[in-house]
Amino acid sequence: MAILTGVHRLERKRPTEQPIEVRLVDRCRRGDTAAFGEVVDAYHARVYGFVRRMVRDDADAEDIAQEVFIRAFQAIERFDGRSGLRTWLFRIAYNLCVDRSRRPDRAAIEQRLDDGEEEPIEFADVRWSPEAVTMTAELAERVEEAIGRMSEKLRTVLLLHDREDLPYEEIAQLVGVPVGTVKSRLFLARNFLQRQLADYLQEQPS
Amino acid sequence: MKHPADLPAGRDLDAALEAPSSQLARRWVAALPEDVPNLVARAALGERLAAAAAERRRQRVQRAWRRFGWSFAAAGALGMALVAGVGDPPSGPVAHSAGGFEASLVDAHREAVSAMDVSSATVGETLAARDAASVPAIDWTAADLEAL
Repeated sequence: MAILTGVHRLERKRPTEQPIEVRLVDRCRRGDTAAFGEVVDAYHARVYGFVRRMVRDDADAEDIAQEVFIRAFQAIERFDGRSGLRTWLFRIAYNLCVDRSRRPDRAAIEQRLDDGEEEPIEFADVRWSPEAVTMTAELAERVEEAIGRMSEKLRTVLLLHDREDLPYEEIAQLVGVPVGTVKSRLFLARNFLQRQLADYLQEQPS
Repeated sequence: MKHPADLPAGRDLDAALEAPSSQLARRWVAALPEDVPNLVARAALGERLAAAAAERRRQRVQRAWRRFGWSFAAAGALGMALVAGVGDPPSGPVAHSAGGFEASLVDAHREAVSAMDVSSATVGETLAARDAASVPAIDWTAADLEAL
């Protein structure tokens, strides 16, 4: 009876209770350009940020970010909603970034992890407590540089998980690797970041 | 060739990702300043989307024409043919191939017109012709009309 009640309650779900994203996508599919404008307003900055860090060129980043939404607009009728709208947009962005990096005139400079024999750094000092570290402009610049030195594979996972909060499963589908590989790459990316910033943190006053 | 650091596996990997040092790196990335596309780029995107929307509307109209355009054109041509046939007085059975769809449509239309009370001259002539064929002619004179 409880199951039937639950089903009955589900069937009587009012339209206003549907996720906002679902309604927005429905409007976009029906050709509501204002609705797609809302999508752009909601995601343009984040997509641009991801693309800029992936391609490391502002002009290219602007072009690619625009292309993401043009393609999304052209394909919105075919969007089946199996993945979230955000994941779908980032998949388009990722594919465009990869395509751009494959161009002969823009061969990616892959940075291999050096000194991979070092153990991951454990910051026992309270200065390195996650809650104690304040993001300053200098720290942000160092982090950006370190991200830029990473390989494309590690950078992708780091940005999608730690910056865009995509879950492991969606990142795995987006990139086309198993979840375990996503986690491994994330571990390596964070490890790389730690070692790149170790000197900076050592210099900070206690 | 150097190898990456020994990777923990399974639950060890999950635990390593939750370790304070790993979480610190996560916070660094999450705390990076927001990227704001410049207004020029945003405006350019708006223009491109407007053009894409116009192109999509144009393609939809084209698809609709491909699906229904021929039907509309054929119906229009048939309608014009039927209307053009209204002015022709019936001259007996129409010589056409028995069972022809167009011919049967024309015959049906002519019978329907002859049954209608239409005030146009051409149709009046048709009615008069039909009346003349079925009723003996009476020579009415002006005096006869005044006597009525």
